[in-house]
Amino acid sequence: MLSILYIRPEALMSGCSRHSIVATSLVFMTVVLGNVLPNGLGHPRWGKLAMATALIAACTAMVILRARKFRSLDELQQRVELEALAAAFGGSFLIFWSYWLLQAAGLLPPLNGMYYVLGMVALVGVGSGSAWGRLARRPPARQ
Amino acid sequence: MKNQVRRLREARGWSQGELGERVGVTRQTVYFIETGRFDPSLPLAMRLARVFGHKVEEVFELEE
Repeated sequence: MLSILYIRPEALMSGCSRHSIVATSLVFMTVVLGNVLPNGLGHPRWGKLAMATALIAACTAMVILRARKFRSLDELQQRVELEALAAAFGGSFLIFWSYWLLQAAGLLPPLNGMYYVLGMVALVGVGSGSAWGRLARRPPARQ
Repeated sequence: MKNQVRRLREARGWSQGELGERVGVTRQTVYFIETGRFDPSLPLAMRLARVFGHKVEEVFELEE
């Protein structure tokens, strides 16, 4: 069973550029340090911490595999994928920034982090469907 | 952008999938190019022109 799930690390790494991995790690460290330095570390339960670490590893593998898949797509599929990611990025930025501002204003309760993930995944799907729909609706050129 | 991709493909008796394989794209992409709903990049337009044995400007034409 485990052998089915095993993915060669070098196969994963070839999907993403070294620069994007370093940049993502640096931003992650900045976010973590920016919150840990003024507030200190919490007191996690080891079981939950292990589960979180496993989920982070699984998500990282998923993102890298998706980047690898992107390179194998042809140019139309890549364009649709990019439009979907742009829609997800812009949409989730607006949604969660708005939510955070309304939360800071005291109107909304703190947001469960899982909604960030669900929101982004849903918006990628919507963006992809919308891009394909726009292509299909575009009037054909006169031959 | 107007193009002659469908006419040239049909003249050779190729399916959309077959043409796609020759230029390295999917059947779906060939369909969207043929109907003018998707304008290919310059390298893909040149690959298409090459498999038909034409110049790129003979296959693709900018609409006024």
